[in-house]
This record gives sequence, C-alpha cells and structure tokens, in this order.
Amino acid sequence: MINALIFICALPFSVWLLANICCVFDEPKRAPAALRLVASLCVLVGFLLLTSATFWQPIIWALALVVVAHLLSYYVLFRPSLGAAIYRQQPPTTPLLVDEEPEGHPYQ
Amino acid sequence: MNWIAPLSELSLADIDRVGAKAAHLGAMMRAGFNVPPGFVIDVDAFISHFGEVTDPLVKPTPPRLQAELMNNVMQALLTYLPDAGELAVRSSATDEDGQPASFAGQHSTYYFVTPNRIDQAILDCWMSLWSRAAIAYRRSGWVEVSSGETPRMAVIIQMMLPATRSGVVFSTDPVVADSTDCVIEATWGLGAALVDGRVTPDHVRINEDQGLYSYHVSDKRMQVSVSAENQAATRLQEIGQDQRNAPVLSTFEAYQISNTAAQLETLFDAPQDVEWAFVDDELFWLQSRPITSLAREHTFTEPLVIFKPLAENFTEPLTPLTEDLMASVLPKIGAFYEGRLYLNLDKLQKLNVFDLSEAELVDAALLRGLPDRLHISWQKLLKILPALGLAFLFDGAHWLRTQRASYAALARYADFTAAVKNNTKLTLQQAARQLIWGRWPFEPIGFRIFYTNVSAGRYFAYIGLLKAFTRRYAPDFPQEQLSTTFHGRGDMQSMELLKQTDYLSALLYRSLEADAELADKVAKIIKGNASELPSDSEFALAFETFLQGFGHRGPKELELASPSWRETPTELLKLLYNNPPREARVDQIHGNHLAARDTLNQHLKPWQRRITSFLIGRICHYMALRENTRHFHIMGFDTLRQKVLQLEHQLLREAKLRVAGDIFFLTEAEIGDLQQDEISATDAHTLIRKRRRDWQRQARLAAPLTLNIDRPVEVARGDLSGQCASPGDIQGVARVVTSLSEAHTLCAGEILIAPYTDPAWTPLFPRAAGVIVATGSFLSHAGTIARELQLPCLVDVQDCTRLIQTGQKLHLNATAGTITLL
Repeated sequence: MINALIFICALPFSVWLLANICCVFDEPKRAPAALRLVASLCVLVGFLLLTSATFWQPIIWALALVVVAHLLSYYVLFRPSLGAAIYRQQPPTTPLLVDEEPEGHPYQ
Repeated sequence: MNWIAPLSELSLADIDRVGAKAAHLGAMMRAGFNVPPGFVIDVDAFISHFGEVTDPLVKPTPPRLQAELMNNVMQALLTYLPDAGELAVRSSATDEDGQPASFAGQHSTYYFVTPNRIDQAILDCWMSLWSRAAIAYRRSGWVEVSSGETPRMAVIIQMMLPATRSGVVFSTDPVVADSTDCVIEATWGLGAALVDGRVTPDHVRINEDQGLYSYHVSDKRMQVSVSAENQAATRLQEIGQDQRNAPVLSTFEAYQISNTAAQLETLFDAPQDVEWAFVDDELFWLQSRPITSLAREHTFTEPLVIFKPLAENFTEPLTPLTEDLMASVLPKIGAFYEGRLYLNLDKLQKLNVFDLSEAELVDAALLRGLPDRLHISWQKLLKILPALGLAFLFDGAHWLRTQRASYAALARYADFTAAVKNNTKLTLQQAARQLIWGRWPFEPIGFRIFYTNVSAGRYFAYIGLLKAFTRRYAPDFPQEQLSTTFHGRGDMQSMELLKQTDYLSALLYRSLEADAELADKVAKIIKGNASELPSDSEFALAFETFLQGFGHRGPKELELASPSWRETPTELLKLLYNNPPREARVDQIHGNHLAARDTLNQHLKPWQRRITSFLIGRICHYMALRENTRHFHIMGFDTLRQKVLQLEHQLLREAKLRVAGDIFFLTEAEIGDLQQDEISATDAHTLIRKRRRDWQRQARLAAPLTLNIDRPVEVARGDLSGQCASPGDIQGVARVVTSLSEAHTLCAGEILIAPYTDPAWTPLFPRAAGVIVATGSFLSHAGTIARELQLPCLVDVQDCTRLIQTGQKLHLNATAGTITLL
C-alpha cells in the first residue's frame, strides 16, 4: 500500500525531474539549469537516504513510466494518421464566368 | 437547313434553339447594348451531327463536320463579320446558365480563332459538352440528368475584341446578404486571367446611398494580352510594375458599368452577373446571366466554430497545399472547411469545466470573452481531472520547461530550420511535421516551437488570477489600467520589429536627403524599374541586416503561397518609404507601464505586492514567449515554403507546371503523382484551374463563424461594436485602409480601420490614434501591438471597413467596445 502511495507521489516529482534534465539541454547557458537539476537530484537522494532507500523501486518505476509516457505522447502526436478532416464543398452554381481558355491557342 | 442565326435577331424566346447565353446576348443587342457582332450555330446543327443525346455521361466519337454547315458558316462570316480577323467561338448549351445549374467553366470557349481554323473550334466546342469537368459536374448531382432534358449545344461566333481592360459586374452583391451594392471586378487585358483565378482584380463597390464608396486596387501580376507579338505563344504575361498597382477604371467608367448593369437587371428582371470589356474607351458587353445562389451546402454534421487565431491573420481561405499540409500535422480537434480551420464544438465541450451554455461556449471559442462570473462545474471537473493528470504525466515535462524558456533557447530554431531545409530526403509532410512538432522526443525546447507557442497561452489564466486578486485586495485600482501593468515592457519581437522598421525609415529618409543616387534608385525600385539598392550605401547594409533577422516575415505569413519580405524586398521598401520618421514613443510607453505598476503597488500590502509581482512576471514571460515563438514558427513556415518552391522550380523546368504559384493549388499527393508522371501535366493544369476558381469563389465569401450550430453567432449589420483588445477612449477621424498598398494614406492621429492586420502592418500602428479591425480577438496581432503601444483597439467589428468611411469623425470607446459616428 505504502509503495503504491509513494509511486503516485513520485509521478509528479518524476515529471519535474525529467523537465529539469531536459532544461539542461534547452538553453545555451547551462549552469542555471544544471543547478536546478542538482537541486532536484538532491531532493531525490535526500528522500532515499531518509527512508534508508526502502522505496527506491516505486520511484524508479514512476520515473520509467513518466519517460515512457512522454515518448508515447510524442509518437501519438507524430503518427502518420494524424490529420484534421478537410471538407471541400462544390456549390450548386457559381457566379463566375469561367469558360475561358487563356492559354494555348490551336486555332491560329 | 440553314442552322445560322445572327445575334441581333435573337431574343429570350429563342433559348431552346440557341441556348441561354446566345439568347441573352441577342436580347441585349436588340435593347441597344453594345455587344460584339456575331452569329449562332443553333442546336439543330448539333442534332444533325450527333443525333439525340441519350446518355450525357458517355462521350461520343467526334463526327465529321458536314459541308453544308461549313458553307453556311463561311457565308455567315462574310455577311455578319466581314472585317473580323480573329474570332471568339463560345459555347451556348441548352442546360447552361439556367436554374439551378450554370455549368460555368465546364464548357469551352476559344479565343483568337482564325477563320481557316473555325471548323476545329466548332467541333471542339461541341465536344466540350462531354468534357471531363462537365461530366463530373453532371455526376456530382448538381444537375438532374434523368429529367428527360438532354443537353444540346449551340455555338456562338463573335468578333474577337482586343480588350485592354475587362471584368465582371454583379448588379447586386451576391455574397453579402441583404446588400444592394453593385460590385465590379476589373483587370487589365482579357478577363480570362481574372475568371480562372490567376489575377486578383480591382474591387469596386457602388451603392445608391453612398455612390462609389470603395475602390480597392489590387496587385495584378498577370494579364491575358491581346498584343500581336504574343499571338503564337501563350498570352499570359507579367504586367509592368507601373500598371500592377494602378486602378483599372476611372470613377466615371465605374459608374458607366454600374448604371448599365442596373439597366440589364431591369431588362432581365433579375440581378445580373455581367461580363464587360473596354477596347480603349469603348465599353462592350460580353455576357449576362442571372446571379445564381451562392448558398453553401454541406453534408457533414459536426458543430464547428472557426479557429480565430488563424482566421484573424488574413481573410482569404488557405490554398489547397497549405490546407493539406496543415491538416496532416494538426490533431483531429476540428476540420478544414473551404480553406478555413474550424474547431469541433463537441470536443471543446468535453474539455470545458465551467457551467457554460452552448452560446457562451461558442463566444469563448471565438475568443469573445467569458461571462463575468464563471462557475466551475464540479461534475465536469471530476470527469476531466483524471484526464488532466494523465496529460501532465504524458507531457508535463514540456509544460514545465516552458516556464523558463528564454529567447536564446527559442533562437536555436533557426539552426533547426536550416537542417530541415537542407535535408532533401524529407517529403513536404515530413518537413511540416518536424517543423511543427520537432524530430525526436526530448529535443531542446526551441525545436518544438509551435507547441511552446500553444502552451504559452496559459498567460490567460494568470491574467484571470491577477484580475481576481486586484478586485479583492485593490478594489480602488481602476481595472482598465490593469493591462498597462503587464504591457509596454517592449520585450517582444513584434516591438523589436517595430523599432527596427522605425530605425530603417528614419535612415532611409536621412539617406534620401543626403544621397541623390540612392534617392533615384529607390524611386526606380518603387516604380518597378530597378531591383537592387546601391550595395555600398549605409541604408542598403542596414536593410540587408534587417532582412537577415526579419526577412522570413511579411504579409499573410501563415499561408505558404504568400511570399516573405526576403522574397519581395520591394514591398518592404515601399512600406518604409511610406512610413515617415516620427517621434519614438517606446520610452513613454515603458514609463506608463512602470507608473501603472507603482500605482497598483500603492494599493497593496507588501505580501500582496509579492503575489502581484509574481503574477505580472508570469504574464509578461508567457506573453513574450507566445509572441516570440510566433516569430520563430513563422520561420518554419518560410522554410516549408522554400522547400515547396524548390519542387515548383523543378516542375516548371520539366514543363509539368505552367505558371509560378500553381503548385499551391495541388495537394502533396498530387504533386507526387505529377512528379512520377502518374497524372499528366494537362490534367494537373485542369485541376489547378478549377482549384483557383474555387479558391476565388471562397475568397469572395465571408467565412461563416459557425457551422451546424443552431444559434448563429453573427453581429447584426450596422452594429458598430466589437471586442476590446486594448482599452482607451478617443475621438478622431477615420482612415479606412483595406490593404497595405493604401498604407501611405494613413496620417498621424487618424483612427485606422482595417479588415485584419499582420506583422507587415506593424509600422502603421504608431501613426494611428486608435485601431478598429474587422476580425481578430484579444490574442490577435492588432490587439498585441495596440496593447504594447497603449493604443485603444477594438477587434471583431464586423463589416467595419464598409460601415465606416474615410474622413468620418468617430468616438472610439474601446474599453466599452463601442464606436459612435459623430
């Protein structure tokens, strides 16, 4: 039961950690992002030390799930079948006078 | 059998014998209208050659023309057209130009036919009764083929007019409901380039009350020439720069056309759609038929609401290629209808957690605002919470990364677009996907620029929180000043664009005074007689630097067919030339922003200041992020356009396409088929012509805001109200500017009235005292720039360019959302 609770609580933490990891590669100046990553890793390590590393498994599972979910969401967005419908309607009539042949004059 | 009838002896009673077109022309001649002389080969000749048509869907074998017919035609040529060197051979089918089907564009007309080739032209005209387009039209169900009325075709032979100007006039506007305006469209040369969509014509509106109240001069790039030296080759020609943007008609000529159209309406007892042409100063009438219904009919049942952020950028529909590529990369949250993107209201309803009626939800989707008091539906929230949790789990990291995304992070997109551009293995769709969504998961945030742009829209939530907080803890602080606390920092790319164009304008004016050679060259470039600036001038260097940073921007930048400033620097130069230097207001605007924040702080306790400071910081960050990501995702569109142009260049070289710009009227799959020779160049050309005509028809129509929704959300005509995009209250004189070609007419201190705006319009804003736009929303370009410049701005004022006239005095109360004509 406690493992399930830790797993659920670790999910948002994992998203935050993943964001901080990615942030390191986002900006040309990496030092501030690296500091934030270190801070979040410290939280993780601190928690594990405080609990004598009893709950490392649900945390790892949460991290793995978040990474897989992010990969999945990316490929769902990117999959080839993605596409909004296109409706093109032909009106019953059109007011344009479009019976001309502007190019190609074979009758000269 | 004679089979020949002169046009001058025909009347509407002869429709069954000579078809509607010929009968109308005959009636016009008899009534004294100036119609080119000619004669008709009646339907009996057709029956004599083809027999009775039993199946209009099956093309027969072309018959040999009977000698008797040709003798009669030659005799008629000598009698009725003795001096005609070239002829126009036109269809006049018995099921054409009638109700409910017009068959417009389905049957052929041949121009510049010499008498010795007239036999082939007559036969081809008859055979066009079974052209692929005509058969498809019958199969589409728009015309009843089993009614027992078998189609037959008469052929009109007329003198070929060497038209110098031509066009169409609608005696009553066929597009705007309840309008009594007469609408004239005019272009240079023959009308053929106009009617197949290759030229955007001048657009003139005349009504009984106001007379000629609108003359919109378009950029007319092509004309179908009648000059003798072009007879053997294609007649489609580029128009000289001096004529491209010149009005085709004088005021007198416009009234002359309008008055005659009204007379034709009386003659035929119905609003008419008339083709006209000028040969020098003599006006001829080429065709008249009743205006047929433009009613939209669709078979889908999804409730749709127009996607405002796209619709407010330009009023025309997307071209088929842009639509096709956008549809392939956008999720199924809605649908494209006639070149416009719509959101599915049912899907929006599922995401909505508030107690909103359908009408309120439609208003929210149209970005017209939310009710003052929002009530959360806990039932809906409980349903949606798990979905929000899952969304956070699946994409929360990206969401969090945008919290700190800097401009430098976004600027990496430029390198990304270069990589996509240089990857020749990518199809257009793959390139579009990569430019919109990135290549791989967990890429730098700057590579997923479109997604970042969308996620930055959360500043709305922070604005809501700030409003609620200040109402609660600073009730004395005037709410209309609240937007000044988070606008005017000047950290957006749009403001940088404004600063740079101001700088360039000032430099240009300074250089023109000091450098006679440059002044001469600029004048020539603007007239179209030169193309390059002297490379050693300070202005040319600054201009080049500007294009490196902002060259991918320009008008209609979400449309792939629209060229950027880099491709059309002359347009940018004109804009700068028409933008005289003015006193910079940026410092004053920033001062107002700081003053408003100070005033707010005076109403708050220290802990409350910290909260408002945090909220304002977040709003400013996300607003800048949204505007700056737009600057870059337009770069993605520009990259995609460059890839399309590469393909087009190749297809033009292989003679698979005829004219630059045609590629935008094919889908990606069709372009692939054309490359692989799976469709012929002729078939592609036919398809492109049809699509161009459809696009023009769609462009004439105002896009419906909603589809399949019981309560139409339309502002009543004549109701001059709109949505406040930037607060303020001023009085001033109106200046209607319908396109950038009229930008120079805006004088300092006037109120700008525009159909839409985009970044290319930005330099106009500081000159205006206020802005009124026909489309748009709080999020639109006009709103963003007006807020930054602290100008009163009202958007979504439907029909404002028609209801307000240049020179009228107005009271614009943007805060209340009202306009009063003084």
